[in-house]
Amino acid sequence: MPATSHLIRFKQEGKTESVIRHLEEMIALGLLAQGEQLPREPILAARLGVAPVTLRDALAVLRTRGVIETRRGRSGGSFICAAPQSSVQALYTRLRGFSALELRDYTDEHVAIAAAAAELAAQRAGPDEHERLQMLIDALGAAGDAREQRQADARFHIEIAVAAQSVRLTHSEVRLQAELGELLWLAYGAEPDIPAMQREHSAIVEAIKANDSALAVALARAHVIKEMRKLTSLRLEQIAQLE
Amino acid sequence: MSDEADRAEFAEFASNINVAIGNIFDGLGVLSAQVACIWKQARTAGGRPRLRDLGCLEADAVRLLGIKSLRIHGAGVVLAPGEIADADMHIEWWCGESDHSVHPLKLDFNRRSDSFYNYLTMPWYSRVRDTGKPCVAGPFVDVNGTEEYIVAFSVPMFDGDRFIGVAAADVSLESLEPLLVRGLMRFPNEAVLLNADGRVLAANTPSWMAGDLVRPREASNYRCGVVGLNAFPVYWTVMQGQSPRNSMV
Repeated sequence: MPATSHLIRFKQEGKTESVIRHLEEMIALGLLAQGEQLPREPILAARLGVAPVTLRDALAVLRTRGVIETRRGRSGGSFICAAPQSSVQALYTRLRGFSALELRDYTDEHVAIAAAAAELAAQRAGPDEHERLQMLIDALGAAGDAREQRQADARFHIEIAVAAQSVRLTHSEVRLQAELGELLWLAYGAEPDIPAMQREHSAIVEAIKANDSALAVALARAHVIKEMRKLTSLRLEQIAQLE
Repeated sequence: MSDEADRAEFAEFASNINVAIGNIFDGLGVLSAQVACIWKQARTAGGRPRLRDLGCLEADAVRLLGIKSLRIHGAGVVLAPGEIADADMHIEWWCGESDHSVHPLKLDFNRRSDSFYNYLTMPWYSRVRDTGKPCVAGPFVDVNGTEEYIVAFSVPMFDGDRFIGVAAADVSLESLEPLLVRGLMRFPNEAVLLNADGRVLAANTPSWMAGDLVRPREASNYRCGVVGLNAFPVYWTVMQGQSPRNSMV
């Protein structure tokens, strides 16, 4: 069998799991609302860039987990019913499953996306965008629990890509937050230093407001690298504990 | 080119834009008149409208979604808090998919919930509420719905003098831009169409891209002309440069 066929099979097997996680994270981030109807299957599959059969498998799993329900009839379709909760245990298991190379690769990608978004936001954001970014920094401070904090943090990073006026960068940032968001939050530990996080976010927003692309890039890059280092070090500790 | 020919060129450009977006505003006018009617009936009956009274708006929203020349992602009405008897905030909204299917959009308006969709702070709502005038907001990346680059058209709805919400439609800039560029390509010089915030909607030159923000000091080297939209006090601006548009930059 040629080597590439292994590659394709591996990717397809992983796809269902990643579609499930993507949709669950979109709900957890509040980008898909409870009660909201999902687009029809062919359209959703096209939007997510997966085969219809992969999506169908993923929806079946979400249905059994009680995350969506499917109603028949004229006003039928799949609806979001509840935000899924991942246990801390499951998150640690997932983190241990990452190789060092995978985490480094994620870091590279996240830095590239966050830096490009910050650079363009500094060029293109106007008063409306500045105000929304500030609102999300305030929301991080006002958040009542870890889940709300994580949501405000993720929404802040997504909003930078929105301020950059880029659909593709926004899409990439949503995907990265969906794939890594929960893990990143795990790395902050039981009592994340919210004021420190708000200060870093504010510094990025100030650079964006000042149209200082170079500074916005440097700050966004440093912010992402710091988060990913925490995650990497948490993984190393986990591996050590297993010994 | 003479000033007169220049003015004629500009007038034609403005009129073509208004033809392109005219049926959006027409459709929104129908929705807002329908809503005013529902509110009046409820008032006559001595109460506030209920959610079920809004179902009759579907046909008008679907007609808007069916406009062929543009890709309209969603249309409907967005209500001011407290206007409906059995809900606080509410959107009666329909989404059109690329396969022409239409489905109602259900959103979360529980103010305490994670996914609370707070439209009260969105420019296409807040500007119309604050000015009482129609608004064309965007382009902006719509992260809550379509994940596309959207221009939102909205008009106020009133019950007598009281603001009760907006009728709105989301249009993808991707479908609007070719119509705008066709007009801009008839200008001999570099020309850029800006929204009221100075953001580029379309350009006939690679010097500017859709989504770029033109700051006042940058605009000062250009000749600016105002395009009134649909006889409303809503404006876009055409910015014309000194250099011919086919000169390489």
